[in-house]
Amino acid sequence: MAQGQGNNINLTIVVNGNPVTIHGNVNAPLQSLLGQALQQAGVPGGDPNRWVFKDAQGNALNKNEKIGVLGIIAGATIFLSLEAGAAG
Amino acid sequence: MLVDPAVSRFKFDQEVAWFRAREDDYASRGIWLLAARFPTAFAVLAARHTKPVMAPYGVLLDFSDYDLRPPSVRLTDPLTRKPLKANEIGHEFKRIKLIGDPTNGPVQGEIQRLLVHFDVERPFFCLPGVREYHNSSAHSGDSWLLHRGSGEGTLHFILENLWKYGVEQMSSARYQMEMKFAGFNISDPPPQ
Repeated sequence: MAQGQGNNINLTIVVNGNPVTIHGNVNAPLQSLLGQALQQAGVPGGDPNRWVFKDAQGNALNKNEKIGVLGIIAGATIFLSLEAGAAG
Repeated sequence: MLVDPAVSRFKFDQEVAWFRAREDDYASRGIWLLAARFPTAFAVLAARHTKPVMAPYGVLLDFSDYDLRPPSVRLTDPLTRKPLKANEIGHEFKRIKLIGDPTNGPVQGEIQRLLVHFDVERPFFCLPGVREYHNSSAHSGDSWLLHRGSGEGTLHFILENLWKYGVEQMSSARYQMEMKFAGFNISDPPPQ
C-alpha cells in the first residue's frame, strides 16, 4: 500500500472497529479526516462531537491539532470511536 | 428469530475479524476477546492501571438477530462466565454528564451510573446500542432502530465503552486481610 508522498500521507483509521484507508495532509488538523473516514466506513456520522480519535492504547487525540504535530506518520493506524450517547 | 441467522452471522464474523486484526492493540488496553462462536462472544476486561493488573469481570455478548436487534450484554465472572448479580460487580460504571451550555455560563456535572438494575439478578448496561437498554420500559421511546447504523451497538463500541467506564477508571485495589489463629487463649498477663 502506498504510504503517500511528502506532506500527503495514507493512514488507517479504525472507525468503530472497521479499518479504512484515509488520505491526509500532515499540516491539516486531525478533524479534517473525520468526514472522509466516516464516509468510507459507511457510517452516517451524526454529531461530530461524539466521535473521538484515539491512539492504539485508547488515549484521546486532540482533533484540533495538526496531524504531523501529533506524530502521526504515513502508514500509521489510529482509532475513531463513537462516544456513548445519552444513557442511564 | 427475526433475522436469517446467515445475515447475523456474516455481520458478527466481520466485526470479530476486525477485532482480531487489531487484537494486540485491544490487549494493550486490557480487552481480551477469548471466544467468538456465533451468536455469542465472550471477552474479559482487565484494569491495566492497577498494580497488579486485575481482571474483575468478563462480558458475554449475544448477537442473535443482529443487527435488527442490538447485542445483549451481560457482565460475568471472568473465569466461570456465570452472569454476575448487581451486588457481585463492585463497580457502577460512572460517567459525568455535563448540564448546561458552556458558552452561556457555568455548567454542572451530574454523575450518571451506566450499570443499573431493576432486578438484582439481572443488572444491565444502560446504554443505547445495548439490547437491555432498548428493551427496558424506561426507554420505550428510544427505539434501537433510531440508532441502528450509527455506530452504536457494534462489538467495538460495546467493549470500548465497558472498558472506558469500567476497568479504565480503576487505578488501585485495596486489600483487607484478617488473620485468625486457633488454639490460643489470650488472657491478662500473669501478675509480676
